[in-house]
Amino acid sequence: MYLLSRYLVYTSFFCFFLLFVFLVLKKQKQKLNRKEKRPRRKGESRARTLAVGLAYNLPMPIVRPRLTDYYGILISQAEADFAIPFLDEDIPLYLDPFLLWRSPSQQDNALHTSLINSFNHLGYLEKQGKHSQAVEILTALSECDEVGFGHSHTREGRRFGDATAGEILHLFRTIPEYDKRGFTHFEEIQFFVDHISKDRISDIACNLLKSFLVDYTIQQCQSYRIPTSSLTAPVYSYKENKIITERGLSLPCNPETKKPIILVPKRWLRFRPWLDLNEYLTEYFPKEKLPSADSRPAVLTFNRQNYGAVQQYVAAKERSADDCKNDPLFSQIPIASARKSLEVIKAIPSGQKDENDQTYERELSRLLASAFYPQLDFAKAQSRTESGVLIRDLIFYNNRSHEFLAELFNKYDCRQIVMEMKNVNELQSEHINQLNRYMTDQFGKLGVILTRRDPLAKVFRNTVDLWAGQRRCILILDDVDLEQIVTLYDCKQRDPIDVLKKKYVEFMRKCPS
Amino acid sequence: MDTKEDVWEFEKLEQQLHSFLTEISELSKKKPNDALNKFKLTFINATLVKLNDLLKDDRPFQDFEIFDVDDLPSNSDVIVILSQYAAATNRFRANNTTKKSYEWWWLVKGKISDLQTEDPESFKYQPR
Repeated sequence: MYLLSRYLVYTSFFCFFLLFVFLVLKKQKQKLNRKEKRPRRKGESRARTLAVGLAYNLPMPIVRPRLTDYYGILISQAEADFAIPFLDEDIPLYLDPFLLWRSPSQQDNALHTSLINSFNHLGYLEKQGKHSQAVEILTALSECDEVGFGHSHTREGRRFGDATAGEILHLFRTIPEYDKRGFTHFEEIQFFVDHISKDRISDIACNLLKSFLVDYTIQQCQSYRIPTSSLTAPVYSYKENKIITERGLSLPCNPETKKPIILVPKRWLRFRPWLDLNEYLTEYFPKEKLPSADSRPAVLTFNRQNYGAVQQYVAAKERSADDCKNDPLFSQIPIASARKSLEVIKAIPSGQKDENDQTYERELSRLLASAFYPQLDFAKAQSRTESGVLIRDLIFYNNRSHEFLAELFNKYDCRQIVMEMKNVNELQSEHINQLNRYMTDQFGKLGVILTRRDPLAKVFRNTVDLWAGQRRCILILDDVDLEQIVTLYDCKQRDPIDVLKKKYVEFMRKCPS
Repeated sequence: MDTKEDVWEFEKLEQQLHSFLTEISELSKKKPNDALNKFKLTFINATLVKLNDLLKDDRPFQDFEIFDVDDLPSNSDVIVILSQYAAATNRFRANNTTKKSYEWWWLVKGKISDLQTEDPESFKYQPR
């Protein structure tokens, strides 16, 4: 009897414990589900719907979402060692294998050697009569969606066909130098085979280096605490000389496609490869030897039959390797250009006549994108139509890299800063209302209007009233402020972003306490 | 002046003020509209705070205390204010010194002290 009662007590305790665990797990699941329950809007991608929302549990889409913004990681492109990938589109940069070759780092040189060895192994397979195996590997290597380089708006590209792969492999037979010693710079294939452009070179290199890039991505994700998932990706095995599917890789995931994202060091990226077919054609190709030099197939055939011409070009480029530098993802315009832009802006009459508004917006975009860098990363210049009026905005990512920007983020929920451009003689209250209507959940409660002149007192009063009533902040910058921005950009004594802060402080002084 | 320490403090601040004026004047001649950086402003403000304590009602502007870093004061803005402070310190010196037996002495609590000084005219800020 005593044993039975003890048994019943223990069993009931155990049942209660199980019930408790079950309830806790259920609650967690409900919480997670709630985060993803925001309905997708018409024409909106899932990445945008979920962007930031997952990280902050807020139903808030952002414009041109980047991986770091999506997860709320506070890092600007200038600080990051890698190119921050966009979730919706490609980065218009390419991995240039030549940068690994000329790098002073032993690691980069070793990676270049392994890259070349892997590529030359395809030639070995070809010469061993394993043509179909080589074609299969080369075709698989021709596209690398995980890194997202190029000009695609979907982060997805197409592989080349078996015929192109066959042509590349044929080089190991037709050109004696490659037959004997293989390639030293595999990007030379673009000089002999049609339809091989910089994105193909970059993708092949990324695929052959993917094993290293996966490790690099894991390391970067750990240091910046970027969330990762256990994902599967095809990786070229240097040991087995074939593509294997690796499972359980701890990589960041594209929320839209659920595909893995791989990060690439900035130091390997260029807009154009150092060995560039277009440069070769315009500056090095011996045109006197080929009358039909304008025809690309004729040039490629000429190169195949006259390897020396390509060899001379490559030797010349190797000699000038010290000049080969990686391209930054964003380069600021020179001070002289900023001054020129300011002069152009000041000379533009207000209004839409002679496309003055478009010139104003174009000059302002390039000027401010540079002036506010690196505190604000420029996201996009976008257009929208409201009440039949075309409105153009500049959108900046708010990385909270400056104490003022952190304050905007905390007070106004401002994850991206929208700046509306108005080339008008006199700012109207309707312009304020237009921006106010636009400041919904996308941009938080802060917006900036860029216009030509100081607003009238009643219009400024409107912005103060908006703050008093709804705690929404609209700052107005005119040509005088723009001039100060350019002065600061020039003198380097203060950051141009301080002008924005100054306007904010002035605005707050006018607001009721 | 209330104490001898105030006299020593004043003489130090007066020298600092004149040095700042000389330096910023050079900058202002080249680029009057350039903003002064935060580093320089911090030290100028520190000097102004101490001078305000000493000058009390003799401050040049009653509604100005220090530069607001967020207002992005330019070189010429700073020169305008520091010049006014230079004039105010000179007036203050003239009011707190006296000539006795062909020599100038500081007044502490309204009485002649044993701290000797020079003619206030020789301490007037002279732009280069």
